[in-house]
Amino acid sequence: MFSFARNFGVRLSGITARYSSTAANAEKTNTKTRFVSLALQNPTHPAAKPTYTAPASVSVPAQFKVNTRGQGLMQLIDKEEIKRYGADGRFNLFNKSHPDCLRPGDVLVVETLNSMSADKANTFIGVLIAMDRRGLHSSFTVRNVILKIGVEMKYMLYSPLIKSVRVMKRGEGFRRAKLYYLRDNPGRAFRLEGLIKQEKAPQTKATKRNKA
Amino acid sequence: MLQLKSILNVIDNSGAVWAECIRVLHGGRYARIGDEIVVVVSKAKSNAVTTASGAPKVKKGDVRHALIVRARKETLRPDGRYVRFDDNACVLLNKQGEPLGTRVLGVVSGELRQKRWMKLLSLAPKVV
Repeated sequence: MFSFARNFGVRLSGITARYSSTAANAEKTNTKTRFVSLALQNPTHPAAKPTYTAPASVSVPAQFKVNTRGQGLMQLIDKEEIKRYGADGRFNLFNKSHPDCLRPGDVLVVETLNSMSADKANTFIGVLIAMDRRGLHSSFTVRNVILKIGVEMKYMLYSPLIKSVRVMKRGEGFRRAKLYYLRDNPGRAFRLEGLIKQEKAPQTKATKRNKA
Repeated sequence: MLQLKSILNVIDNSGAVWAECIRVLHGGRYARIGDEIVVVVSKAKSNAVTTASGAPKVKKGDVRHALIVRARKETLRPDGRYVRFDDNACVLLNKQGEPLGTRVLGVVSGELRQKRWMKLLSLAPKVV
């Protein structure tokens, strides 16, 4: 996955150079043994080219800056995975400079698949009460009151099982980043029956139109 | 994370209102959603002797098996989701492991599907 061979090639060729010079030039005892890059001397030397080719299942980043000390590796993996899983635009849900950004207090409709091969999606409607920004493990918590019991669902933003996240209504008047106080003082925040009906109504109208 | 002395709401129509856990049946200290526990009924409704369907009514002090259907502790789903309810709730079971009541009143966790409690899921008005 990582083309370390490029850097290693330089060192390996240096090591082989040292031994080859002592073996071949036995008479020249004056020659100092030091790292001589055979790769630089001889471009067709096998150590000059990266010999590792990643298998097809592994995605090698196009522009990969090799850092042999491993610094910033987890950050790089994080960024690459976010690019891969956030390709459908869900990165914008947490991007403050984007108009589609989620804000605490928004009423969301989250559709989740049961498994990667499932067609049917489970829907959860609720108020966004928390957004946790943790790179690839970013998550958001949605709360609703169902049959008088509060239910909270914490979704991982970049989970491939999340089919869609839609904002039904923008939150207004919420001045906190985390709305945990709504557990004790809900006010009118969870009166979502009207919105849920609106959500279901267009679907039933569509099916009627299709049938007729 | 329910254990000895935890009090749960009973959300079926068996007549019990609160149940106190006295034993976690799988042997550990904590019980989660979908675990069976032994409970003592600490508060029961004081109306008719039997329920409409003829199921035996439970009284205060009865020792029964119960199944946890909601928990305040967040439960991890296989895809990384967490579910948390606002209370701890259970449903009473008879000796055969079947639900004692005939109706379930309230939301029930989808964890029961993995644990094969299909009868309860079909009785529940809402599964999350």
